[in-house]
Amino acid sequence: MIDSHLINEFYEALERVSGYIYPNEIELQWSVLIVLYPYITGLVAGAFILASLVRVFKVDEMAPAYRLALLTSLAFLLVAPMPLNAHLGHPERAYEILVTPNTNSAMAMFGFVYLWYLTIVLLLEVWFDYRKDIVILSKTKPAPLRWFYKILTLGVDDISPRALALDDKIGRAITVIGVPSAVLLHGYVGFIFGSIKAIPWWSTALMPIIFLFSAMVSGIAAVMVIYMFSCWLRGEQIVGARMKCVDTIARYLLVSLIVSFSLEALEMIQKAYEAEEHYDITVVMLEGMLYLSMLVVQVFLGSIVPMIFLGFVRIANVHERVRKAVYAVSSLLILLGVLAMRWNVVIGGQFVSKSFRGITTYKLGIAGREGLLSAAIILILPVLILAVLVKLFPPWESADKPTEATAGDPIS
Amino acid sequence: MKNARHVLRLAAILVVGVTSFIVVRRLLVPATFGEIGHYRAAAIEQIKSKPVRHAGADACVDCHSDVSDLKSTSKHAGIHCESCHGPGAAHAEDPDSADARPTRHLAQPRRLFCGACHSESISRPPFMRQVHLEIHYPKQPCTDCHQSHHPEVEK
Repeated sequence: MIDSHLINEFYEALERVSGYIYPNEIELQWSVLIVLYPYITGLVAGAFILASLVRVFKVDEMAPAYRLALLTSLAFLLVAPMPLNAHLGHPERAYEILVTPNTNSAMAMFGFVYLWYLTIVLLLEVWFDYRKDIVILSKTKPAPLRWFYKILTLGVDDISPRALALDDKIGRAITVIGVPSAVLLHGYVGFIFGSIKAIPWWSTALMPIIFLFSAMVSGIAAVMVIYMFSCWLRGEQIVGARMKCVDTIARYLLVSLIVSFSLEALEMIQKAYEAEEHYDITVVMLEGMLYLSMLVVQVFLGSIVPMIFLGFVRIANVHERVRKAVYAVSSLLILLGVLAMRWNVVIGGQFVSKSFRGITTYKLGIAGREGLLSAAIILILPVLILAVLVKLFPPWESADKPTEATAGDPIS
Repeated sequence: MKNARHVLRLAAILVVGVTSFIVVRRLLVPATFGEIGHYRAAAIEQIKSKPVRHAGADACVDCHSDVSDLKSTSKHAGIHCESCHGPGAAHAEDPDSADARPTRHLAQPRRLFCGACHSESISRPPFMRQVHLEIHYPKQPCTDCHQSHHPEVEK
């Protein structure tokens, strides 16, 4: 006897497709959780690259946000495998990709890319950067928190200038390794999409680079929002050094946004000019189901509007308060735009049938393992983890103290 | 070296971590892994031991030869019974059991079911009869005019 529930689902699915599609294309295999996976890893890589600008490339204006960027990167990285686990099911088998590595499969190598980035890059960098604080906290905090810090000191409480100088040297070396690792992490995610020959919407050598730049854009925007929000939460005005910090973040945000947008536009223009056999159906998709998420949200609201906003405050002599508002709004729009970009890539790529003569749709459920609620939890979780991390490892430094610069200064 | 004690401890932790990974890995990899390919060879036997759900068309013909004879002269001759009626191994095993009986017609509404193959689409091969479900007798079930096992309408 066939399960009547399955039969109903089959009919429901039939109503959702148009044109000719193959039977195995009715249901999208990669759901909203796979949309979140590149989004979250993008935030990790972007936030880390921002931190490395301070550490390696000596962009000292952004020093007040350096540690926050590191913790943001760590918080999101801890959650990065969750959408994959939730999507695949059987998280109890997740360790298998590590114990039986398949070097022929880019997707199966994720465990190693992830482990490298988490342990060798981020955890070590955070540890070396915070070691002095950890030692101090292990002596000043009451038990049982003290024991936690005590364990983290590894039993060594040497914070002599020579030991700290060594920490700084090693930390810098790790960041130098970290930059290519961040590029590898997100370039890798783009590589996976770019190497899927069956889906022309994905299959381009530009994909890793597009993903990388959109990662930088989203990561920098996320740090901007989190930094401004945390200043507001702590009741600290964004003036002086802090204002310089957000101005500099905005500058890098604008540059990476322009590069990212140009790359995406180039890819689309090239696709349109080549007009290969899959192009007609792509246009049907763009004018239909992707119109709102791609043309309106990703391109207009998420790229063009913030680009105009951020560009305008660079050129015009704008008051600090307006600048801050522009930065906050632009960053939020960019975060939304990059999320829409991930949606358009992941979900959009699966709409078109391999026959190039039909389109399927995607119905996002509310509940369930791959529903909207799971996605919302996975997106909120890193913020909660970040709140705990910030509590345990305060990222606020003395350099964060506002300088004597007066509020209302035009951009320098 | 005096000021590098914490670095040495960290290095020791890394070495212990990597060593334990190598040891644990030996314990975790299934015995038959890699014998044939990048999977557990024993999985084949495990999958083989699962109960078979489909009986195949011959099993149906044994009892339902009247239907099979009718179908063999129609355009549906090439479609297997279980394609529309679902898996029938349990029914073939125990024909009297009501629980094991395959679905009589895959399900309602039949118009959509027939439409899975017969709704108008330019990319279907022309030998498959196609109709616009919205305008081809939209209110009537297909089976009012077409017999599923011999769908040609006599004129």
